[in-house]
Amino acid sequence: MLGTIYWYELRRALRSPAFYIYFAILFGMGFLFVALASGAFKGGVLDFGTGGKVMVNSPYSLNTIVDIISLFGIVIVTAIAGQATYQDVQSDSTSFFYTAPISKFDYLGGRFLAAFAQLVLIFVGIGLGAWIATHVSWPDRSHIGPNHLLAYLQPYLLIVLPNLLLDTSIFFALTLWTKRMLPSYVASVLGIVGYQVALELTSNLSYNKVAALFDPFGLNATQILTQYWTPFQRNTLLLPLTGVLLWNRLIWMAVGIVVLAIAYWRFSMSVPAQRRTRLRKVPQADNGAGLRAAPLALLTAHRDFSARATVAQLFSGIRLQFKETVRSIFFIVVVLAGVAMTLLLLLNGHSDVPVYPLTYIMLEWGRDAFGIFALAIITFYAGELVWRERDAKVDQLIDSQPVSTWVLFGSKFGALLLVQIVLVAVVFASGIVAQVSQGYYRFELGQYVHELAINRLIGFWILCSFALWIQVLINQRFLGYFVMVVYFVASLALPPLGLDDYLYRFGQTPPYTYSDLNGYGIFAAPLAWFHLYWAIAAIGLAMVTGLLWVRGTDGGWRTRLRIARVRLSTGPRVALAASAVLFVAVGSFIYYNTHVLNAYVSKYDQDEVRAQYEKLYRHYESLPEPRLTDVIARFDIVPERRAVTISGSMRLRNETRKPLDEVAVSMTVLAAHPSKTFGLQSLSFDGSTQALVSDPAHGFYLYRLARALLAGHSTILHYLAKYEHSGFPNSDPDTNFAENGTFITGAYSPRIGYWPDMQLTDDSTRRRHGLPNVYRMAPPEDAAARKNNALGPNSDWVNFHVTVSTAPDQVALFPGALARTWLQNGRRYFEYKTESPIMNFYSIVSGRYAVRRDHWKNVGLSIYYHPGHEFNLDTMMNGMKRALAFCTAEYGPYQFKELRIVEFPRYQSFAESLPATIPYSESLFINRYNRSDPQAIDEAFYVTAHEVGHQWWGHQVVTANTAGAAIIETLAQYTALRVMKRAYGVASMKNFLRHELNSYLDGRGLERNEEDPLFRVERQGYIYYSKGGQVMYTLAEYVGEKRIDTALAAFVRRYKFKGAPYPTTLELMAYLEKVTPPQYAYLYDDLFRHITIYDNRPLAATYVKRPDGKYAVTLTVQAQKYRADGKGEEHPVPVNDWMYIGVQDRDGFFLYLRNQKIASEKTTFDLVVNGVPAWAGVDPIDMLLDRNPDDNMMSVSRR
Amino acid sequence: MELAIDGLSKRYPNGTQALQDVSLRISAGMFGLLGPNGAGKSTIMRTLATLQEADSGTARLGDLDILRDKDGVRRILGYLPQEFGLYPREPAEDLLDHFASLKGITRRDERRGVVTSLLQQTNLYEHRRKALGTFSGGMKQRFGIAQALLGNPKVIIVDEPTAGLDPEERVRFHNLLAGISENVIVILSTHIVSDVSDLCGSMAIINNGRVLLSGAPSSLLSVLDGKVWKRVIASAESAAYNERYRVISTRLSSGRTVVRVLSDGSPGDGFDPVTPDLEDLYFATIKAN
Repeated sequence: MLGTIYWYELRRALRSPAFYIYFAILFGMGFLFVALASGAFKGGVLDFGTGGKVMVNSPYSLNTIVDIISLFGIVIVTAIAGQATYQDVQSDSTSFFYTAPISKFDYLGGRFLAAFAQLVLIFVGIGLGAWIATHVSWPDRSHIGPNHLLAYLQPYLLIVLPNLLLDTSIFFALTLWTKRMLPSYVASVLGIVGYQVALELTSNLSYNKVAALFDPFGLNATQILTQYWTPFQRNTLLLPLTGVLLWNRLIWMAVGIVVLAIAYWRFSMSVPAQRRTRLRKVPQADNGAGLRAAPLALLTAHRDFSARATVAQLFSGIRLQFKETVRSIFFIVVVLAGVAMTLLLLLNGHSDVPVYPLTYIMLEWGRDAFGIFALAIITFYAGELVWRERDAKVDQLIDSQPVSTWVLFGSKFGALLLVQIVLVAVVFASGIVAQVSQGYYRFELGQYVHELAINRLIGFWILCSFALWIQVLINQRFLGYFVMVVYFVASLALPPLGLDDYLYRFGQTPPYTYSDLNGYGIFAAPLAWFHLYWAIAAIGLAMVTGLLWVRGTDGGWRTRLRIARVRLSTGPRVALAASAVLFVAVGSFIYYNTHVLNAYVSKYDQDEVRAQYEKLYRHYESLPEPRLTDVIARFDIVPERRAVTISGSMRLRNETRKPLDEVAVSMTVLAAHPSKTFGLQSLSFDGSTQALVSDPAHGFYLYRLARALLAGHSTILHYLAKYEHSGFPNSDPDTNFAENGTFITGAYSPRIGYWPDMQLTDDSTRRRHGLPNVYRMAPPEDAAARKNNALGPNSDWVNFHVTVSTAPDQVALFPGALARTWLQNGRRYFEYKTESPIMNFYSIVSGRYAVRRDHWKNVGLSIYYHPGHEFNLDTMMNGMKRALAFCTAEYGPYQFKELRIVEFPRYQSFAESLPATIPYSESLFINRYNRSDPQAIDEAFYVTAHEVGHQWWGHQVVTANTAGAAIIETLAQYTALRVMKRAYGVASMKNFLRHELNSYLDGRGLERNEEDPLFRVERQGYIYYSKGGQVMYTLAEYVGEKRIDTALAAFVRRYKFKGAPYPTTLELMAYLEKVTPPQYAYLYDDLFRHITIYDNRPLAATYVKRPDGKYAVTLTVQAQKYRADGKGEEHPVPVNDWMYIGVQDRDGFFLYLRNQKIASEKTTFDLVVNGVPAWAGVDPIDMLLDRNPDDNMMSVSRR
Repeated sequence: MELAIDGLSKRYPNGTQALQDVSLRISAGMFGLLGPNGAGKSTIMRTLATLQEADSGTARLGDLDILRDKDGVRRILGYLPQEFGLYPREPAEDLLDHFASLKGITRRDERRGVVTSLLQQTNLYEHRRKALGTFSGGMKQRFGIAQALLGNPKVIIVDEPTAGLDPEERVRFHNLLAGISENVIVILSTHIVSDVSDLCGSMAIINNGRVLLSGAPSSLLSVLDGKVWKRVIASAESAAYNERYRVISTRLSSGRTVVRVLSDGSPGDGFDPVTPDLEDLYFATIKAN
C-alpha cells in the first residue's frame, strides 16, 4: 500500500509543471555558476574561493557550487515537503485519506518518500547543469579540468542528500503538525539563519568547531576541513568524512530522524473538529440560545463616505492588519530569532579583532545580522497580507464593503510599513543593549535615527512596495515567494556579471560607509538620490498594485485589466503620471551624475585600461630613464569641494653612462575621460621637447628631449595636475577626497617611466584581458634588477620640498619636517622639507584633528586623532616609545626628530609607515583590547610597533626590486613580535603565532597564482607578514635573539640610506647565516628557500610518580615533514629537525620545554618533571608551520 | 424600488456558461432563488454583490447601475456569502466595529451603539471579546448575519445561509429575515425548497444558468393545479414508471416508494390526485428542461 501511495504521488509530481520548473531552475543555476566561475562571460566572473588555479570542476569547487545552490533550494524543499501532506488539508480531502483502509505508516511513508524522491530528482539538476556547462566551448576553458564522477557524487553523498533528508523531515513534520505552510517557511528562514550564525561564529577561531556542528547544512564543517587546502589539494582531494563533518552529518541526520519519528508518533489519522486548546475556550453559553426569535430592531446610524471617512477607514484597516500580523506567533518567533542573532553578533563581534561598540559599528553589524530577517519578514508578510482574507475566507465579506479599493490595499501596505518600524526599533534596541552591556554609554541617538529611521526604513519600505506588487501581480502566493527569492539572488548575482548600474537594480542603493570623521560624507548625496529614485518607483508600483488589486472572486487577467481601467480615475491617473515623470526626472539627474559628470566604468573596463597600458607601453619598461632626485611641489587641497591641484617640478638626473634623449612619464590615477578638471593638465621640461606619445586615456606620455641629457646632468620636469570631483558616481566614490581626512598619495603626481604597478596581478583576470600570466619579479640573484628599489622604479633617495594648502581649520601632514605654517587668503598653509632624502613614497593627509603630544628622548611624538577616538592613544604612544627604544637599541638610531601617527577615515582600513609619519585608519583607532582575555592581542600596540619598525625596515634599509623585496614587511613584523614579547611577555606570543599561522594556512589555500618560498616572496601578504613573522620568531628562538639582532644590526649598518645596488633576501640571509650555529643551518633551506609544512603530534603520553616525588613522563611524538611546490602539491621528506618538546601542568605552566633533535617519524622521550604533568606534546608554541596546530598537545595519563 | 436584471450572461474562462440571458424583477421582500448546485445561483449573487463581473446584461436598482456603480451598490448592500471565514485572532467586537467603519459609520459612539446592538441581537454580546477563531459554526454564522445587517442595507443577499445551522436556528434565522424584509430586498439563494415556500413572496427557479420560472409561488403553483398524482409502487417498478409517465419525483415515504407524476388527466390505475407543492413545481420545472 505504501508503494501504491508512493508511486501515485511520484507520478502525479512528474506530470506537474512545478517539478520541471524547479528542476530547470536548479539545473540553470548549476549551469550558470559553472559558466560564470569558468569565465564564460567577459564582463564578469563569480568565484567562491574557487578561482585562480582551482579548477571549476574540481572536487572542492563542485562541492562549494552544489552546496551553495542547494542552500537556495531550501525554498523548494519547503514547498514540496510541506505540500506532501498540506495538499490534503488545502483541498479538504483529509477525510478521504484518513478513512481509507490504509495505515498511518503507509500514508505518511508513501507521502514522505515521494516528496523525498522528487526532491532528489530535482536537486540532481544542479550537478547535471554543472556537468553540461563544463562541456560548452566557452572562450576561456582554462579553468575546466577533467571531469570525475566522484567529484560530482561527493557533494550529494556528504551534503545534499543528508540535508534533503533533514529538511524534508522537518518541513514534512511541521506541516503535518500545524496543518499550515507558514511554519515551514519560517523554519527554512531560521535554517538559513542558523547557517549564517555558524558562518559568523566560524570567523572567530575559538568558536570554530562548535559553530561547525551548529550549522544544519554542514557547509561550515566542510569549510573547516578544507580551509587550509592548497590549490593542488582542492583540485585533487575528495572531502574526508571525518571529524567535525562526520559529527555534523550524524547529529543532523539524527535530528531529522527524531523529528520525523515524533511527527509520526504524534500524528493521528483523524480530523479534529477543532484544536483542543481552542475548544476549551469555546463559550459555554452557546447551547442553543442562538438568534433571538424576535425580529431585529436595527439601529440607524449616520453614514459618511467622505474623504475624511475614507482616511478613518484606512487607519482602521491598517490597525487591524498590523495587529493581525504582529500578534501571529510566527512573526514573534522570527523577530526573536533576529534579535538573538543580532545580539549574538553585536556582543561577540564580527571578526577576530574586537572593537569598541561605536554606534556605527552597532548599526553596520545590526544591518548584517538583522537584514536577512527583514527581507524574510517583508517577503512572507507581503504574501500573508495579500492572501490573508482569501485564506481566512473573509474576502467576500470585506470585498463587498462600501470602501474604496485603495483603502483595502492601503491598509495592507500601511500595515507592512508599520511592521518595518517595529523591525528598525528592534535593531535600535539591540544596539543600545549591546552598548550598555559592554559598558559603552556614548549613545549617538542622532546617528541611530538617521541610519534606522531614514536609511534603513526607506530601503525596507521600497522593498515592501515591491513585494506587495509581486504578490498582487502574480496572484499565486508561493510562486510570488519564489519570484522574491529570484529577485534577491539576482540582486546578488548581477554585479559580478558586470550589470552593476544602480539605475536598473530595483531598490538597490550604492553601499556606503559611515565615518566619525565625515559622517555619511560623500555617500550622503548618492544615497539620498537613489532613495528618492526608488521611493518614487515604489510609489508608482504601489499605484499599479492598487489598480491590479484583486477584489471579488474573479482573478482572471481580462477582468483584472478591465477593472484596473475603471479604477484608473483622475486621482490615480495623475499620481501615476506624476510618479512616472518624477521617476524619469530623478533618474535623469542620477544619470547625469553617474554617466556624464562621472563616467560609468565597470570593473572590467577599469581593468581593460590597465591591460591596454601594459599592452601598449610595457616595452618601455627597459627604456633607460633619468632618475628622480628632488621634488618641489605644491598641493592645494580644497577639502570642501573635494578637489586638489598639484603643481610642481621634479629634478631628473641621468645616472646612466650614456646620454638620454627620451623620457617616459606615467599617470597612474586615471579618469575614464581625462578632462580639464580631472587629471594631468600640463607637462613640460626645461628645454624643448617633442611629444612622441601623449595618451591621457592610458596615462602614458613619452617625450624626446631636443637636447639629449648627458650622463650626470639633470633636467627639470614641470607638471600641473588637477583632481576635482563633481556630482557622484554609480558606486565607489573616490574616498581619498573627503571633507575631513583627505588622503593624497604619490599616485596623483607623475611617475617617471613605465609604471609596473599598473599591471593586473591576477592570472585569471589577466587572461580575460588577453594578457599572459603575471610576470614574475626578477629573482634575487638578478644583479641588474638591484638597481631599482621595491618602492618604484627610477628613483632612489629624494629630497622633497612640499607646500600644502588646505581648509583653514585643518592640519595637513606630509612626511618631513614642518618648516612653517601660515594663514593666507583664508587657507591654511604648511611647508615641509625633508631633513634628509627619503624614498619617493608619501601621502598627504589633511583633516581636523585633536593632537596628543609626548616625546621619547629627543624625538617628538604626536598623534593626530579625531576627537572622541581617544581609546588607544596611550597604547599607541606607549607602542611608539617601546618600539623606538627597541629598534634604536638593537638596530641603530632613529633618523628623524619627530614621529607622528595621523588618523584617516575608515574607508580604508590599514596603517602604513611613511618617513616619520604613520597614517592610521579610523578602523584601527577603535580597536579594543581586553586585558582579561588571555586570547586577546593588543592590536593597537602591535600595529604601532610594526609601523615604527618600518622606520628602519623600509626607510633606512630599502630592498631591491626583486622577488623577496617584501621581506622588509617580515622584518617589521619580527620587530613588532619582539616589542610585544618585551611588553606583554612570552605567554602572549602563543596566541599571536597561532593567529599568524592560521592566516598563513588560510592564505596559501586561497592563492590564485603560485605560492613562493619566503626568500622569493612577491605580493602575498600571507607569506611576508604571517609566515615571515613566524619564521623570524622561530629563527630567533632557535638561534638566539642576541645573535639574530646582531646580524640584523650589521645588515642595517651596511645598507642604510644606500642607493643601488639595493640588498635582496640573499644578502639578508647571508648576514643571518653567518651568526647561525651549524646545527640550525638547515633552517634556511626549510624556512626561506622552500615551502616546508609539518604535521606533528604526540601519539602517547603517560607518567608515573617517582619515589623522589618527581614525575617520569614518557612521550611518543610523531613528526611528519612535507615540502610543497607552488601549486600546493606536497611530498613527504625525512625528518631531521629540532623541535620543542613540552610538558605543561594543569594551569598551562611549562614543567618542561626544550628543543630536541627529532630524527625519525616516531620518537619516544623519557622526561622527568617536578610537577604533576597534565599535557605533553611537540611544538607547543606553534613555532613550526604545522598544518594541524590543534593536535600538538595531548593530555598525559597516569600509567 | 425594484431590482431589474436584464439579459445577464457570464461565461467562465474554463468555458462554463454560468449565466445565460438571465432576466429577473425583484421587489422589496424576500426573493428566493432556487436551483440545484451549480445552477448559477452564486454567480448571480456574487455579481449583484459586486464581486464578479458579468459579460453582458444589465442590473439596475432604481437609478443605480449595479454593474457599473459598484461603490453605490456596496453602500446599500448587506452580503452573507455561502462560505466565509473570519480573522482568527481578532475579537468579534473589534472586527464588527471595523466592518461598521467600512460601512461608513464613522462616528465612534454611533458605531459602538450599532455594534453593541447587533451583537446583543445575535446573542454574541457576551462573547464579544473572544477571538473569532474560537467561534463555533453557529456563532460564526450569526456574526456573518450581524455584519450583513450593518448600515441598514437596502439589498441583502444571503447565499445558502442555513446550510450549517441546526433546525431550530434555521427557523430563527428565517424569522429574522422575514422581520427585516419589509422595506428591503432580501435575495435568498437555496436549494432547499421549503426555505422558499416558508419565506418568499416571490421566487425564481434557475438551472444551467437560465431562469426557468419566476414569480410568486402561489401563482406559479396554480399551473399545476389538478395535474399532480401519486401512488405507491414497488421500488423495482420505478424504471418502468419513468418510461410510462412524466415522473416528477420518486421518493421514499415510510419505507415505501412513492412516485409523483404530472398528468393533465388522471393517469389511472392506483394514482391519487395530490395538491401540488413547491417541490413538485421545482422538480417538474427542472425535469422539463
